[in-house]
Amino acid sequence: MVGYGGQPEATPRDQLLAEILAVLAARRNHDGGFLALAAGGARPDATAWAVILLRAGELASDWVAQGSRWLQARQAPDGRVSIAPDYLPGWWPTPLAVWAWLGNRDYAPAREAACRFLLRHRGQPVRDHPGQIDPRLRGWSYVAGTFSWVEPTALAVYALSQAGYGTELTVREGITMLLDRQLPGGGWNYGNTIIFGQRLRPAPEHTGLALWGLAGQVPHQEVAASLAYLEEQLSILTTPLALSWTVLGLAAWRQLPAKVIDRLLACWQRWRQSSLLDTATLCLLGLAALHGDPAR
Amino acid sequence: MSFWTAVQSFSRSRGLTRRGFLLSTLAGMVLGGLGTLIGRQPWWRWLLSGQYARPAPPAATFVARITSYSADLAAVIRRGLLELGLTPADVRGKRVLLKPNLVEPCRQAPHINTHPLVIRGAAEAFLSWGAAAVLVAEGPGHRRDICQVLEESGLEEVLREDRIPFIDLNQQPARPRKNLLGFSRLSTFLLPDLLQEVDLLVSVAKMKTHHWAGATLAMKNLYGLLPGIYYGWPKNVLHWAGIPETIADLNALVRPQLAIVDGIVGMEGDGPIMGTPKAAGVLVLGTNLPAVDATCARIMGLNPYRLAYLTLVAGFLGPLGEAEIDQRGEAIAAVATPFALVETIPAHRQLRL
Repeated sequence: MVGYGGQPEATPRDQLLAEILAVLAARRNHDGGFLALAAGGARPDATAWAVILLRAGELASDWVAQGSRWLQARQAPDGRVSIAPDYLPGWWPTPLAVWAWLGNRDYAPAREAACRFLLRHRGQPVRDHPGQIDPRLRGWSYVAGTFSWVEPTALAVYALSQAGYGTELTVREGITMLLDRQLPGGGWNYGNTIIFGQRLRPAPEHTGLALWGLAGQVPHQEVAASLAYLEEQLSILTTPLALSWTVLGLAAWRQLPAKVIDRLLACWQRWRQSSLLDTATLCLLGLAALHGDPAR
Repeated sequence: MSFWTAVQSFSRSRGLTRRGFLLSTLAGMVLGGLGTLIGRQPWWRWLLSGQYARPAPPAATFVARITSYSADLAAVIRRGLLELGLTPADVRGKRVLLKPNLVEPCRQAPHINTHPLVIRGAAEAFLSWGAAAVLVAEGPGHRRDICQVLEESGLEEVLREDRIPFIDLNQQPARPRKNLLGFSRLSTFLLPDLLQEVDLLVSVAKMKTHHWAGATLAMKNLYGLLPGIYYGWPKNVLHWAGIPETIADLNALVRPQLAIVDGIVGMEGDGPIMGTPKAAGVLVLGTNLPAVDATCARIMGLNPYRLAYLTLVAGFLGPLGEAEIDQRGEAIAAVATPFALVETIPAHRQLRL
C-alpha cells in the first residue's frame, strides 16, 4: 500500500504521489467532485481521472467512494456522463466514468448503463473526406453528431474492453478505426493522417493514448513505428501531459525503460506551480509514476 | 368528423362563411410562411437582435511594412492604433485579452503561429497606454498539451519574461449565448465566462492560407475562443455546422474591438499547418474585422469576395470593398505579394484576385 508520504525513506514515486495528492486535496469539493483547475467548479472528467488515479494507487479510498458517487449523480438516464449537466451532447467523459467505476461492484449498474450508452452512440461517419483515412469507420466522438477522433475512441475502446465488452463489433471497429488513423511513419495526432497529399505530424499525447487503448488488442508489429516514435519522444519531452501519456503508452506495451520516475519528477518540479496544470494532467502524471516505477 | 365538417362547424360558430374562412386561412398561411422565411434570414435576425444599434466600428485599417520580428513592434502597434483613431484614453484602465493563433505549434515551423514577439509588442503597447491588465488566452484546436503548445511556439519564454498571464481557453467554463445571425444551424455558442471580464478583445491572428476556409485571418482566429471541452479537439462541432457560417455567426456574436494580423512571415500553400513560410513583411491592424480580413486578402493576392465567410457578413458586419475601407499606412499595392495556392484544394480555386 502506498502511503501519503512522510514515511521514512520515501521513494521518489511515493514523494511524487504524495505531492500530487496534496494538490488533489485542495481541488476536492465537499461533495466528492474534483475541480478541473485550481479554481472553478467540479467536472466529471476531472473527477473520473482522480478516482482512476486513487484506485490505481490504492489511495484515499473515501475519496474514491465519494468521487464515484459524485459521478453517478451526474449520469443521465440514458447512461451518458456529459461534460456539463446542461450540455448533454458533450458525452466524451462517459468512457472515463466507466474506467473510474471498473471493479467497483457498488457501481456495476452505473457502469453497465454507461457501457450500453457507448455501444449505442458513436461518431458519425462521412462519405467524402479529402484525407487518406476511411471516414466510414466509426469510433467515438467528443460531441454527439460529430466525427470520430483518436482520444474519445481510444478511451472508449479501453474502457469497454476492461468492462468486458472487448469482443463487441463496435469495439472491434473502434480498434480498426484507430489503426486507420495511425500515421504512415508512426504516431497519432488528434485523428488525421494525410490531407491533400501532406502527411501531418504526430503528437505524443495522442500517440500514448492510442497505444494505451490498443495494448493487448493488436499485434506488436502493427504499432511498432508508433512505439519507436514514443521512445524517441521520451528523451526530449518536458511537459506533463505529453510526457505522462508517452510513459503510459510505452508501459502498456512493456517498452518503458528504467529511470523514468526521475523524468517525471523533474517535469513535476518544473510545472507544479503552473496554473495550467489541470486535474486530468495531474492525475495522468500520477498514473505515469505508478506505471513507470521499475520497483512495481 | 371530416376536415371539412370541422371547418364548417368552426366557421358557423364564428359567423364566417366557408368562402370567408378559406380566404382568411389562406391569407394567414401566406403571411405566416413569409414571416417564417424572413425570420430565417440572418440579416433580419441581426436587425431583431438590436446589434445594428451598436455603433459600427469604423472600417479603417492600418498596414505597416515590417521585414523582421526584431523591429520595435510595440512602437509600430502604437502608431497603428493612433492611425485608427485610438488614443491612450481608449485603453487606460481597460482589461485587454490578446488572442493569438496557436493551432498546432511546431518548433521547426514557427510560421504556423502568431509570432511570440508580436504578442510581446502588443502587450507592451497596451500596457504603455495604461491598460489595467493584459492577458493572453487561446484554446488550441489540435493539441491537448497546452504546456507543450506554449513551449514549442516560443510563447512560453515571452510570457515568463514579461510576466504576462496565460489562460487555456479549452478548459474554461462557458455559458450559452444565442446565435444572433443564424447562418449555421447552431442555436447557441458556448463562450467562456472570462470574456465577460474583458474590456478589449484583440484578435492577434496569423496571415495564412487555409485548406477549408481559403484563408485564416482575424475572423477565423476566433474559433480558438471556444473551449475544447464543449467543442472537441479539433472543434468539430463548428466544422459540421459549416465553417464559413460559424465564422460569420461567431464574429457577429463576439465582435472583437481590434485585430492585429501577423503577416511579417505568414504561410502560403497548404495552410493552416502544412504550408510554407511567406515573408509578406506586413503587420495589419484594424477595428473592423471584415475590413481587416478583406485588406489582408488583397495583400495576399486573394479576392475577398471569393472568401465565403467574408461574403456572408459583407455589408452589415463590415465592408469588403477597397473604396469603403479607409486604408492607412502602406498602400496595398505597395505591399501586395501573392500567396501560393494549391489547385487541388477546392477552397483555393478561383480565389486569386
